[in-house]
Amino acid sequence: MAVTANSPEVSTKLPLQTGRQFRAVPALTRNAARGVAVTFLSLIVLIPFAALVTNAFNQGLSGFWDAVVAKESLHAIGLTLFCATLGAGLNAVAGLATAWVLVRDRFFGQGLLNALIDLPFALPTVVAGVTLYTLYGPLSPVHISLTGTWIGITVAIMFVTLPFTVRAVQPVLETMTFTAQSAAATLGASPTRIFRTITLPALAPALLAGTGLAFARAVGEYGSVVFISNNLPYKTELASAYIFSLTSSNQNTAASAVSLALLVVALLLLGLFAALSRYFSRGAQ
Amino acid sequence: MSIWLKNISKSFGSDLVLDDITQEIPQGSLTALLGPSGSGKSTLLRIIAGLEQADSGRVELNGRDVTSVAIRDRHIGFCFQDYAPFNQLNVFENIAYGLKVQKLPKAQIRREVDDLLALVRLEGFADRYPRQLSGGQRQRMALARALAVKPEVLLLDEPFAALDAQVGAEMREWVRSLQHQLGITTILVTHNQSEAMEMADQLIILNGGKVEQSGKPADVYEAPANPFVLSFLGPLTTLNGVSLRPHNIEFCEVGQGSKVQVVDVLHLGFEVRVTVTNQDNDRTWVQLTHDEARKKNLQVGETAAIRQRSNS
Repeated sequence: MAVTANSPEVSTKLPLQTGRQFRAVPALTRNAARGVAVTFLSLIVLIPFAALVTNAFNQGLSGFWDAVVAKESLHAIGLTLFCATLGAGLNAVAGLATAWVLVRDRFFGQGLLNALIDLPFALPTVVAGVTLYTLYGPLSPVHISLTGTWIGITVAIMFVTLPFTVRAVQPVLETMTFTAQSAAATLGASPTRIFRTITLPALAPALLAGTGLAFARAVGEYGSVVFISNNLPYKTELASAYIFSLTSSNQNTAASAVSLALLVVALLLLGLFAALSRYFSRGAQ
Repeated sequence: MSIWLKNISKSFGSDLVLDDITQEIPQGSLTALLGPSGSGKSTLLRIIAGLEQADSGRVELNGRDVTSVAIRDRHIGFCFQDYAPFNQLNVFENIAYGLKVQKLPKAQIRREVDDLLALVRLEGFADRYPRQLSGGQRQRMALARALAVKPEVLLLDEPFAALDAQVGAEMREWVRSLQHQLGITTILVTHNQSEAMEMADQLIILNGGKVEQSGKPADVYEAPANPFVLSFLGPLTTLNGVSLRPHNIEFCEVGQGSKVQVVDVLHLGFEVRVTVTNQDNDRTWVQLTHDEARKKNLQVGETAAIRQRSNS
């Protein structure tokens, strides 16, 4: 997978598939599968995407640009990216710690905790939104009101994206033998140094993949944040809510334009995650 | 540096793994901890390294009690069975790891790593990652990495178990000569008696958490202290109810030994294995050299006589 440019004569690589070798699947089935895949991708992803792009430029390049750089739009996109990055970042730390405890420790109720991790996935996001609003809303039983604050939005994002990092890191931790860590200790390294130089780099590809998924989910999150954010324009209005309000007032072109801009920024950030992940996968063939 | 183990005991739960081990490992020697799996040999090695704590007893390195000294302050080189490569680091960075911990100047690290790469014959592999190396190369990298910090003791945990037979044989010879060249006190854990005999100056034979016998390989082999050592240290067969080594039996004139019938002759190059049965159908196998076998020219079905060699 990771191509190491500095070792051209690596002998352990398999020869490239040349297409004239043994095939486990007959040609008809293979072609049919290809057809289904292309049709499916077109219908579900490509055509709607093309429609979005076309719609976004309905009123020309300047119409697109005006919609994107509108003050309310910029604020919503900025807040979305800020809260998504913060939430995904905090979850990277919390998720790693949770996965670590679940794999490396033994304690009462561990099975229950492990099952509970998936709860945010199983819960409809609107239910998560209502739950958080009940707990941290104006009638908070614990007298903590996070309504209409970026903190509240970030908490909601963390709630719905926690499983991503935990479930990404868990399998890697489970197969880790920790002899490399012991070896580092015999070479004089302190526990902190061992974590920083051996454990963390080994976990980094999985951790980045999980955080990337959490981030992507957070950017598009609506149901769980819509109540607690209060949707105050220029204050706590997120991109998803802004786009929804644009469509509600029949500004479809502007909605498409803001959506496309959000999509491009999110893709760029995901590309950064992928590049980082590839960097940490060096040495893993 | 000599190592003294004093009254070391260790249990895992109710399982007594090491039972009051007291043993000296002499300075500069290559000592093999030999025993079947579950004999406690790896646990003992890990206790010497500090990777495991003994329940009672002491570990002394050159008279210094290190029982409660942390792993990283023991100055021990440890090679793990799976070589424990740092997969995210290339060969150079792997070997340099311990030197970087010591915060040595960059130029000095480069010089020392280059010397070590030459020592373990991995010049030209500095930029490779561990997964791009063969098993033997990975092991040599692990050795270089352990030797980089100039440890006073080198501990090898089943170092050749994961290698194929031919590479394993080459590595044994190479590690043996490297140990001689460096003169570093070395302990090798193995379950393979021929590996231990081939490499070690001293054997410590463990069984069930106890030392069965220790001493020079030839002495232990010639004078096993008990039936366990006898059976563990080499092939064994029975002649008239007595256990003995198959090479300590010879063919003789009928009438001068036990009368037997030849049932199988196996030619294995230098060695020839002859299986015989007596009239009670008790099996004995005899190990002959190729020359001896040719002189006797034994045929399957032939009647012959065997006896214990007079010099054994």
